[in-house]
Amino acid sequence: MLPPKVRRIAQLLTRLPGVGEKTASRYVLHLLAQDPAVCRELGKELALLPDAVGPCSRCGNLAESEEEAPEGAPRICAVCNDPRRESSLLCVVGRVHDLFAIERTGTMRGRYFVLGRLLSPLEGVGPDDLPIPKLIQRVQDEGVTEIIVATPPSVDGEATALFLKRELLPLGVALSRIASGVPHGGDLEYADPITMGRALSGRQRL
Amino acid sequence: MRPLVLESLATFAFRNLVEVSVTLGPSFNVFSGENGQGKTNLLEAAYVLATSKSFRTSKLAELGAHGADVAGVRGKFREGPDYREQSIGLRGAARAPKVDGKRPKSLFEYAVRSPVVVFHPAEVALSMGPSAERRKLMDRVGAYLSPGLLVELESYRRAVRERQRALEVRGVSARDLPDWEALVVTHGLRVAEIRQRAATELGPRAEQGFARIGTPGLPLVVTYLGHAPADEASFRRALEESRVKDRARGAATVGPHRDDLRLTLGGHVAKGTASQGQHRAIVLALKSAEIEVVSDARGVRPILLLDDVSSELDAARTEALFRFLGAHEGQVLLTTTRPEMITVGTAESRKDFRVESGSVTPS
Ligand SMILES: Nc1ncnc2c1ncn2[C@@H]1O[C@H](COP(=O)(O)OP(=O)(O)O)[C@@H](O)[C@H]1O
Ligand SMILES: [Mg+2]
Ligand SMILES: [Zn+2]
Repeated sequence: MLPPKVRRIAQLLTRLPGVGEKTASRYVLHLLAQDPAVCRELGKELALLPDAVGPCSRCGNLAESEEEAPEGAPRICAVCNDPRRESSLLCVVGRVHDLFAIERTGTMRGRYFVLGRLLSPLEGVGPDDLPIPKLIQRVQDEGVTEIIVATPPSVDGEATALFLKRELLPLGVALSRIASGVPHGGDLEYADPITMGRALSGRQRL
Repeated sequence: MRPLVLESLATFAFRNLVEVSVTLGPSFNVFSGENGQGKTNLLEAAYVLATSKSFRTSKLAELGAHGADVAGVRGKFREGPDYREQSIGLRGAARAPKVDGKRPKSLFEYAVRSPVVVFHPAEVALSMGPSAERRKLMDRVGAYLSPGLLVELESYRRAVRERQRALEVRGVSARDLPDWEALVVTHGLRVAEIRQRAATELGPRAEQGFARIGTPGLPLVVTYLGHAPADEASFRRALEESRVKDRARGAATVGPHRDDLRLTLGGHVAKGTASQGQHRAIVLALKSAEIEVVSDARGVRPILLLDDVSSELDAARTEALFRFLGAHEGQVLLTTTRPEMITVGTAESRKDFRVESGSVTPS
């Protein structure tokens, strides 16, 4: 029914979370009904995205490449570049989404470290798959004295927190875990800023 | 105590119930029809609506009518002066529950909102079958006693499976084993505590119930048989000590996933020694205990769903069941192939329906 080109783009859009086939074709039809410039601009920006934005080489947050930077040059994010952030305080999160949820509270004075994954043998993630050496390196290089473990309150998130505690304890830094203001089994991403802010300020010693 | 009443029930592409819409009575609702017409499906729809789960299958994808993309059930519950509309939308294995058009905080909260208790022929396994059926009974009841149980159970199971996989993939000295074991212990002890409470509430009620309908002079005794070591330290130690065995066996040896509710008749374990009639009496006693505990915990009479009453029923069992039903002050939805045998209710308190090829009509 739909022209193959439309079908093809709709098919690609269904890879987005929460977008089924019906919604995807609605999006494409909607775009077609717009000024052609909208499609062209969207296409141009999307094509540039993978080279323009990528993980911060220090913390894993999203970072934009510097203009004119040679391909493959390390990227540093806005948080790592912000001189007002305290380098003695480090917040460890599972995914970039969780970092954003904490940033939205506006109460985080320190910097971040994104693990990128949580311990989960069922999903093929063991201790050696976590970037622990890199984390330890940062703690030592930047004079970190307090670490907040903000992995989600799921079973995998808790196990990761317990594991981090054992790995980081010998470093002699103060360790805390965000309070369980976030519902158990919940997702930090969906916690509202107030709940998240409370979880941060009510953090407990690990 | 006020009853919970399902006033109307509608289905859309739910199994063979393509489009059903019925208005129910506040006490007895009798659904009759030949085999394979959709009677059990209708009770299942009511159960799914009330709990977001099925009593027949753990695979939600089976519930949609063959070839249908989406399916759903909707209904209106009354609890005293309050009404609420609940609905469950189904798409493949995903479900979308709603209460008065809004998404509930969690599925766990939804699951205990509108209490229902099911009786179906396969439930004789409660007394004769493996421990899994009795754990399910403790868990159903426990979820009403302590709303956190369902989350704890899910977390416990996840931690057990993660530990097992770590053991199998990286061996008995995998570095993350202590972390998974710590979580198995935390969640396992909470599960055990709630099951213990469920057993304490169920036990005496079932024992008294059995004394009324069972064999005179042969008392039923119901006790919680826990498989979790009593405290954190000994549980941790037991897990550590069983790593080699668990790895070889492919499953964990200690923990509440092996719990049981021990049933003895005159000192002997019922399974394997009781007669058919005694097993049925035990099941009826356990189910009526379940109703009482859920009623007390929730402060409302649950809805009873009885499937296939009369199929090969012996006279004694029928009588015990009907006496029991006569005393139930809540709403009952009952299915049968033989409506002439169902003598419950009066003309005013009873509503009859006919189920034929997936449609349901008043008769
Ligand atoms: N997902 C499904 N889609 C369509 N029909 C189904 C589905 N699941 C079961 N059925 C049909 O439902 C009928 C059985 O209904 P059931 O309620 O168990 O009958 P009974 O009246 O004997 O209790 C069978 O004809 C079966 O083919
Ligand atoms: Mg049936
Ligand atoms: Zn950074």
